[in-house]
Amino acid sequence: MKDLKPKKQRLRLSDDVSLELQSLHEIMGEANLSLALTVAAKLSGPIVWIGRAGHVQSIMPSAVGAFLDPARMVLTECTSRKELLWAAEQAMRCSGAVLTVIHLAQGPNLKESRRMQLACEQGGGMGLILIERNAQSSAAQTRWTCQPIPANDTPLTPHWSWERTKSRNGGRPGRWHVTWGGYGQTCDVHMVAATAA
Amino acid sequence: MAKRVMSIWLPQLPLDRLRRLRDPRVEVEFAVISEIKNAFRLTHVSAAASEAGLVPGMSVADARAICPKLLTEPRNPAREEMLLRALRRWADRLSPWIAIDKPNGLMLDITGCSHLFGGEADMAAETIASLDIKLITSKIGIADTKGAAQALARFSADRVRISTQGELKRDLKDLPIEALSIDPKISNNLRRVGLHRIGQLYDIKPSELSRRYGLALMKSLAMATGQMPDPISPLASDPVFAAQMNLPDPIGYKSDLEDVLDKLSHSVCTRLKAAHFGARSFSLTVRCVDTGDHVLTIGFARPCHDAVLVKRQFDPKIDTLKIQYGADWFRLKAEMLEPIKTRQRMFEGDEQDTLEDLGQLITTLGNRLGFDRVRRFTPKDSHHPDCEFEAIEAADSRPVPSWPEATRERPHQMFRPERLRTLTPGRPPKAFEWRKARHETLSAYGPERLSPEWWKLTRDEVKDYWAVETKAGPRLWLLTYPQRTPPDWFVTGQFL
Repeated sequence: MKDLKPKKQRLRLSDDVSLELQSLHEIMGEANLSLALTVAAKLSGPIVWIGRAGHVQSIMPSAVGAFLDPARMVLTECTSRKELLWAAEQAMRCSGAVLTVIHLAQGPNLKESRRMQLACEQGGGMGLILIERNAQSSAAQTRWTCQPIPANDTPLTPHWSWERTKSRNGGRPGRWHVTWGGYGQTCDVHMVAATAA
Repeated sequence: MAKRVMSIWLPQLPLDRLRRLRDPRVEVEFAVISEIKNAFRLTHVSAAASEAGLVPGMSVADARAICPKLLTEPRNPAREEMLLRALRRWADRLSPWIAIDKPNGLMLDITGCSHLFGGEADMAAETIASLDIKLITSKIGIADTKGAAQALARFSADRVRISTQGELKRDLKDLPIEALSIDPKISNNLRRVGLHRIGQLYDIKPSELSRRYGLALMKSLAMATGQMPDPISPLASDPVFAAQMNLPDPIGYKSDLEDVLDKLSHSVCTRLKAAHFGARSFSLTVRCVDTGDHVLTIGFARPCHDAVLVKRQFDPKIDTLKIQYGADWFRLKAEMLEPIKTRQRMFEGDEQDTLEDLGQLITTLGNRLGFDRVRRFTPKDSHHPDCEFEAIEAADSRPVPSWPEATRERPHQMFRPERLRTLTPGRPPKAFEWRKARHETLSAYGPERLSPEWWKLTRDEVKDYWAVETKAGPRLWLLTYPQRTPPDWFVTGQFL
């Protein structure tokens, strides 16, 4: 039987790494910003960034500028988890925002993530949840763990390891070693090595 | 009832405007200038400048030769008109029928108004006293016609001149012919043949006058003497987009309140739409029978005239109302009006559509969280990393300047400096503890030394920034103050 749901478009980051648009993804780990910014760089249009004051105010537009035009970002400061989730849902439901990024200390539970997933499908944008501490079982499409790797390379060239720990639609788990040209370079991300876990 | 007209002349309006702003120059030799006939000329002079021998109409170069310490300022017609409009609103207390007599006067139809002030003389005296308190110089003429009132206000020696009813010709007789507000060319020609006063024109046949000097002269003479009607056409006051509703009995159910809001918003938005205006803010006043007025306010990121959107934004606000015994008076007012331009829509949806959707989102977020918590970045010109940008309100409609090319390497996240505990000293420390974790330095780049902004009165210290890669992975931005001993180290940012 043919699948009744239209197949969702995917955003390709490299040959074997792609993320579904119109759906929700969770990113954990110390370098979770790296994946979020890479995704933002690949999309064009307004980005809504939601978090507590500490998170939102810490973003440096001049550094983020290597990935995307900082003027595209709409920053939203919230004071409670309830507000964060409400704002995220509003933003995901809005067709004007192509990407919604939300900082959460603890990952969303099934109910919260299902609501956000539905909002993403309605609005047509992508939702990224940056989880600071621990995740719960959720309705997100994929879950990633991003860590910085010390490289001792040319001055501060970033190396990250991106690990896909969960994928709901059958994508196999995997780990990728990623690097970016660094300061002054465009945001082309290079996959250095991939290992199937 | 015979018509009575009051003309208020404000001869020093540009100077009065500056005097009201407490500009100290008005007390010394000072003049307001403007470009007339390819030269900057004085239009209004202060009392001190007048004593020094300066007169309006003189060119600035001549005036400087006579009075070297003369200070000048160009005219600001837009500000002067705003002041004049404000005075028109103030004059509502005198009469309901007011026109602005550009560029520096007001024309009031005071038929049947003066007895409220105890007669025309008292009315004029009160007007002058009231304007004096506002630091505005004024002269007043009252007569049966517009032209006569204007002539009396401008060309009589007294501050107030009232012409007796029906005696127009007698009162105008001794005024110079310039008082008829005619083209200076015509008045010059009249003076050349020895006609200096208005009274001299009465005895000449109108056909003779109009043959030589044109119909304009006869028309203004006939209007001033009341032989030709010359009504005042009042300026419409600024439109108010508001609607209110009185109910015979108080209501308290939410559904009833929503019905009221529905009617009010529909009425206001229909009028806004017809005038091609949108409002950035709406306020709803709910008068409860026991607790008085409650004002609910919503804002919009973009001007709006859609009743459905207004209702949707008010919905959560209405929930916060506590109505015990009911409310019976409601008023919805549109504020911060801006013109709305209609545009062609695309079938596919274009960039403008997404911007509109985003505007809706900013409105929704701002109304719940507060508009100061929905922000966007704008660049600022500074070499200090914590001052090189600013987060302004997203609802702010100012255009965003293009982002300058990054010139230095900056961390992706920056926070307030957090002191670290040095475990193995070094420059930067070889091992340290930060956020309850031990970090060992693998490699370090720096320092980037930033000196304080010397033009500031409160001096900051010199700062050294180091980019440090740690063995565990995180790339940190360390801060130290080289002038301090022993050295003090802070973590102030994190690279990706």
